[in-house]
Amino acid sequence: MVFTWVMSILRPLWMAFRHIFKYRFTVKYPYYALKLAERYRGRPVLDMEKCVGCKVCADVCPNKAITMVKVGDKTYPQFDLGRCCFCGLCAYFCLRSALTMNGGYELSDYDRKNLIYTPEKLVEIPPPPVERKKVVTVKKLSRTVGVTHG
Amino acid sequence: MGIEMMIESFVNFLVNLLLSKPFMEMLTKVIIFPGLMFPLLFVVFAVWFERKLLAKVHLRIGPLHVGPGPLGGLFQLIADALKLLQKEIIVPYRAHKILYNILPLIMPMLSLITIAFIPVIPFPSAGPTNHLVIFYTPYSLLVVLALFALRPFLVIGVGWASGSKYTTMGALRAAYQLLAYEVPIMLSVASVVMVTGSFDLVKIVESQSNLWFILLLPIGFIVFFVSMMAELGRRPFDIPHAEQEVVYGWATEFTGVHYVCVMMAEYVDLCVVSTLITLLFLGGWLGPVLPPVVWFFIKFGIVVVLIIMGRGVYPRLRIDQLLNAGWRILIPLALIQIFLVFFLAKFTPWLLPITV
Repeated sequence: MVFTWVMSILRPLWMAFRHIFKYRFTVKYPYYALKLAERYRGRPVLDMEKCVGCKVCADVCPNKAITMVKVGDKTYPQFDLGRCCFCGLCAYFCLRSALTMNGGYELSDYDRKNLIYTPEKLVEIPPPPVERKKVVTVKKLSRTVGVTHG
Repeated sequence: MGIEMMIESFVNFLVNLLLSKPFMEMLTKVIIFPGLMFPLLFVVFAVWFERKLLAKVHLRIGPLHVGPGPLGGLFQLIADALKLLQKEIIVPYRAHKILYNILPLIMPMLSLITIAFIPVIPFPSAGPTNHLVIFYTPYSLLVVLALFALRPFLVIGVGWASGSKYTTMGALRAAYQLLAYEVPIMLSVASVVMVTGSFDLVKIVESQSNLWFILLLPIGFIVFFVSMMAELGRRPFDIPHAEQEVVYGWATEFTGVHYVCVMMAEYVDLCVVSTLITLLFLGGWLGPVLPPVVWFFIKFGIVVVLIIMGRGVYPRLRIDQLLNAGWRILIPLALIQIFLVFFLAKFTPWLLPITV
């Protein structure tokens, strides 16, 4: 009994000492970025030349994040990314494949109004953060078990 | 004329003082190595080291930004202290104004005074002993323990003077905790004193030249280590300020300068306790090949790491569990150690260093 009691004190200590010399799971995000998953979507991007203003994206959007606005003499979708759930249905149903989902993920802003993306703003493809930063992968990220401890 | 003479004699006096070896030695001792500078630098380093070490235990990164390169976060404590010193001192409505303002300022002083009695390394000096010690006394161990025993009373006073229910509860918990650890500390130290026959820390270290006391008195070491952790209020025993139960225990109401003082006192105490464990059980500055300073700092560092690791590993004890551990386990173990010393003296007296 005394042995198990003493071991219950010593074993966690030994485990903690082993952890000191191990790899760490935290990624220093603003300086490093994790590698994106294979089918990562990101925010939608519009190609204004391909778009015919057919309104399918606005009809299919589950969150009503898309409204059609007039730019010149044509109508284009306008996204409220505050409501968007990034499901990618608009890009999936787009008849002319004018909408694609490859806009990156650094979308946070100080004002909610800035999250309403007009068609002109949707055209710009920001370079995804992964390309601007040093890309790292967490070591020993097991495919079957996920992140392994201990 | 008189004024010029006075100024001249004063300047002469100052020059003579600065040129005299004993004075400069004492000044160095008080201000730099065992004195003021060492514990304060230790505080800065220890807080950073604690955060970084616990982050590694948790597989995190820890403080990163304020500081150069791999030492990132080293100056965070200095930045925090500067911020806290600018803050308003808020005295609660129900507080005892005088005690509330004075007691937290006394705490770091009491901790720093303790260092004056601890010899650190051998060093040829003009004093009564050839060691780096500010105030040499043959009863240094007794003085240090007495100063340590004063600290809980300050804590209780602070808790009462803050006039808040959390501080009062924290202070009462500190009082209960005192009952659990004070007796085992004295009993485990008694075994060391019995073996060496002296309260003098220098003699205690020198009598370990053949065999460190951690090997001769292992049970005494464990009891002393655990009860000293309880005295410090480190994680498994941080019942007096348990964040989840009583907000920050007896230090809840402190802001700004008072908080800086309280935290500094805690970390200076960590420094003192690590030094004491090193001297009593790990052979202090003794060791082969390397110079004594290096040996002292190696042992000191190991003890500090062990004490800090408790915070990353163990869950907090309840107050009744701590009292149980104190009275049912630590005190009997310390008594067993004392009886073992009797047996050693009877059957294997050649093991014991007698330096009377």
